[in-house]
Amino acid sequence: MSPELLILAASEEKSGLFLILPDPAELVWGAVSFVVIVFLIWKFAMPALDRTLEARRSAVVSQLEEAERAKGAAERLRETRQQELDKAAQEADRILESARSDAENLRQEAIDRSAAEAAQITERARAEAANEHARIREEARREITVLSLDIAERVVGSQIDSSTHQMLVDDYIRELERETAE
Amino acid sequence: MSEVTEGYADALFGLASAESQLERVESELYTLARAVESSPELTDALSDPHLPSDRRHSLMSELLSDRAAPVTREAVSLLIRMGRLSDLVAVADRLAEKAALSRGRKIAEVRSAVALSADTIARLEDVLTKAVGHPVEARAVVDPDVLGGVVARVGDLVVDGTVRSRMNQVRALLADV
Repeated sequence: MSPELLILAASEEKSGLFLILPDPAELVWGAVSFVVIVFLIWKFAMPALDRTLEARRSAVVSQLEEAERAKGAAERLRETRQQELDKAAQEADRILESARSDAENLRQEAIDRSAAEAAQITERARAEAANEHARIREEARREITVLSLDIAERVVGSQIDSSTHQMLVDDYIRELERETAE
Repeated sequence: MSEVTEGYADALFGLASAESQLERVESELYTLARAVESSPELTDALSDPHLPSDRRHSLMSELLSDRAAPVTREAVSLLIRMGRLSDLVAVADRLAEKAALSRGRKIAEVRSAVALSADTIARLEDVLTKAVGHPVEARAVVDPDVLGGVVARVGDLVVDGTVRSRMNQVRALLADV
């Protein structure tokens, strides 16, 4: 027999939809098996899968949170560092500024002191000069006085003639007479 | 005034009185003392203990006039021998005082640049007598150093009307200015 005859012969046994459908018994058992298998999968496999997935998900979430926290910590650390750096820079500026102002103060102080000392020395020198001047003047005045009186004495001594001598003595005696008469 | 001076003055007073030459002797010694006083060199020489006594004798002889009384000469000689020549002025002054007192008077030493007339001296004695309240007799001493005018000293009282004292006043005044 030829293949076409075989197919024909087979199709002669069943026709239409029944050509692709299994036997009804097979269909029933298949359906029952399917339901059993689905039930088993749903009953046992699904929860396990769910648990695994849940664990996986929570692990990922916690890792993400961890990462987030670490990032925040790192950020804070960075900020702290930055603040410290800023502070250090400010401190350095402050120290520098203070050193600069100290140096300036010292310089100004030294200048002021020198000026004051110079003024003092000048003042002292001026006072000494004035004193010396006054002293010399006074000395000269005394010497002139003494010399003048010496000369005056000599002149007086030589200028008094006998009549003047007599007059001086008489005048004084008259003075004494007046005094004793009182 | 030391006892020694007083002793010598007493002795001389007695000696001169006995010879009735008190006035002359004390006057001569007074003049001699004034001469010594007016010469610083002479004062120094007389108080110099190393000066030989014959040198002192000759110095004194030069000062005493030739007409000096023997008692005066003797007195000076005695002072030299006793090494008391430096007391000459004090002794002479004391003797003059004692002599004046024996006449009831005090000595007024009167110094002037030139010799004063007897009249002037008499007026001075009058006014000093009034001032002291006791009779005085003036001993006039010529001292050119007073320049002019007159200064009188009776004991501790000094009345000074000399040009020299005026000069000194001016000097003190100018020194204080």
